[in-house]
Amino acid sequence: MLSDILREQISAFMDGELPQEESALLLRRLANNREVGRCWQYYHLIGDALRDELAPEIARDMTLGVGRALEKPVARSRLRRFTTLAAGVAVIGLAGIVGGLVSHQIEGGGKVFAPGRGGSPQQSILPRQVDWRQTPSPVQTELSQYLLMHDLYAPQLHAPASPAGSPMTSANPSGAPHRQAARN
Amino acid sequence: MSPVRSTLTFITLLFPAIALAAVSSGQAEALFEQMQSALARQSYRGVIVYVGGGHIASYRLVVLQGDYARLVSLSGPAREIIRGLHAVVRLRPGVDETVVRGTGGNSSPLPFPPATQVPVTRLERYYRFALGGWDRVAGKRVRLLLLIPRDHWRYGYRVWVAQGSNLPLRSELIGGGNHVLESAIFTRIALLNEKSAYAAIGSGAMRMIKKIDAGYYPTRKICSLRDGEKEFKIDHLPPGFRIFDKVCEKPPGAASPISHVTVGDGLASISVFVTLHRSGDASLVGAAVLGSTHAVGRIDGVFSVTAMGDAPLITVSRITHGVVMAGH
Repeated sequence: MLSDILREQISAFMDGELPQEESALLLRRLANNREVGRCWQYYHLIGDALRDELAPEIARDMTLGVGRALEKPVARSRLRRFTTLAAGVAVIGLAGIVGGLVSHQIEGGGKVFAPGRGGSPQQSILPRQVDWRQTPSPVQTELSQYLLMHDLYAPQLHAPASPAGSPMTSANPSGAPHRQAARN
Repeated sequence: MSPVRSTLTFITLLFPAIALAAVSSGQAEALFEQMQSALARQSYRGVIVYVGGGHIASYRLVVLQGDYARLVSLSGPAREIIRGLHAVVRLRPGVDETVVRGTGGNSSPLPFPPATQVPVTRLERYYRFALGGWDRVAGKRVRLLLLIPRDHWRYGYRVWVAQGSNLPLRSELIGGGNHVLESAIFTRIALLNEKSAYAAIGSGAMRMIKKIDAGYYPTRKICSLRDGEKEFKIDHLPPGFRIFDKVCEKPPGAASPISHVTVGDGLASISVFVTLHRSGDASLVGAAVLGSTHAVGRIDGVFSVTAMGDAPLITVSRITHGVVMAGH
C-alpha cells in the first residue's frame, strides 16, 4: 500500500512540481517498485479522464469495469492487462535508465583521470567506463564545459547535410535545450 | 510434405511476407517524412517530461511554425530558452542572458531526437524504418515508428507520431539490449494558429529574439590551437559518420583555445575537442558515461583529445583514437 506522501509525490511529479532531488528518489522507486509504477499509470489514466482525453475503448472499459467488473471478467482483465503492461513498460524503461548509470570503481588518480582498462577481450579494446559524476571535480568541470558546447552545436547535424568537408551553412544550436537545461 | 510442396509453400508464404515488409517500410519512411514536414510547419504548445542521464525534468514548450520556440523549465531551477531563426537566448534568474548565435533555420525546434531534417534517403542507409502498433500519448492516437540501427555504431529510436498532426509526441533513445537510455514525452499538447502561438511565446520574448536575430552575425572564428600549429585529422570514422563542422574557439574561463569538430550520421552526433594539455591540467583519460552520453579522452603529446556524444562507447572510442595530430 502506497503512503499518501508517495502518492502526493507522484502527483506533483506528473505536474512538474516535484523538486529535482525528490524526483530522482521517485525515479528510483519507479524503477524498483511495481506498485509505484502502477500508481503512475493510474494517475495518468485519471488525468486523462479529467481532461476528457481517454481513448474511447479505455473509457468504455473503465465504465464497464465499475458496474460490471464481477460479471464481465474479460473486460476487467483487459483493463488490468493494459495498466499492468503499461506499468511494466514504464518500470522497464526507467530501470534501463537507472541501470545505465551503474558506475564502476575508479582506479585512476591524480590530475589525469584514468579509469583503466577491463579484463575481457571486448573490454581490452574498449576503455572501461565510469560514471562521470564520480570523476575528480576538475575533470567534471571540463566535461561539463564540453557537454555544453556539444549540446549547443551538435544539433546542427539535424539540418540537411552540406557538402562534405565544408562548414555547415544551416546550423542551429537549439536542438537539445532540454539537456543544456537539465545538466546545468 | 514433399520437398517440392514444402518449397512451394515456403515461397508462397515468403513473397507476401517480403512484400508486406516492403510496404510497411515504405509507410514508415513516409510517416517519418510527414513528421519532418509537420515539425517544420506546425505551431503548438505542450508540456514535455524528459528522463535521461539521471535527470528528470519537465518543460513547457511553445513553437511558432517551427521557426520560433520558447522552452520554460517547470521543475528544478527556473530557466528558459528562447529560440529564433539565428539565435538562441538562455535565461536564468540573476544571470545575464546568454546568447548563442547559430546560422539556424532548418533544424527542428523540438527538443528531442530524432527531430531532424536530414533526408530519409540518407538516414535509411544506416537505419531501418519500421512501423509498430498504435498507442495513445497526451490523449492523442499515435503510431509507433522504429528507427533500427543497421550496425552497432549507433543507437536506435522509438518515436510515437500523432495521427493527424504528425507531430512526434514521445521519443526514446534505445541502446544495447533494448534499454531505454533517454526518453521524452508530451503529457499535454495543443495545436495553435500563428496568432495564438505568437501570444503564447510572448510579445516581449518575440521582440527580443527578433531584435537579436536582426543583428545576427557569425561569432565563431577559426583560430589555432597553438601559433603555427597545423590541423589534425580524424581517421577511420565509423561507417556513415562524417565531419560536419570544425571550429576553434576560446570559451570564457578556458585556459586555451579549444578545437571543436562535430561528426555525425544525421541522427547521432559526436563532438571532438582538442586542446593544449599542460602538466597539471585535469583531463579525462579513459571513458566516462552520463546516461546515454559517452565521453572518451586521451593525451596525445601536448594535446588533450576528448570525444563525446550520444552514441555507443565503441563509436566514441573509435573517433577519439582516430584523431591524428599533424606531424605524427
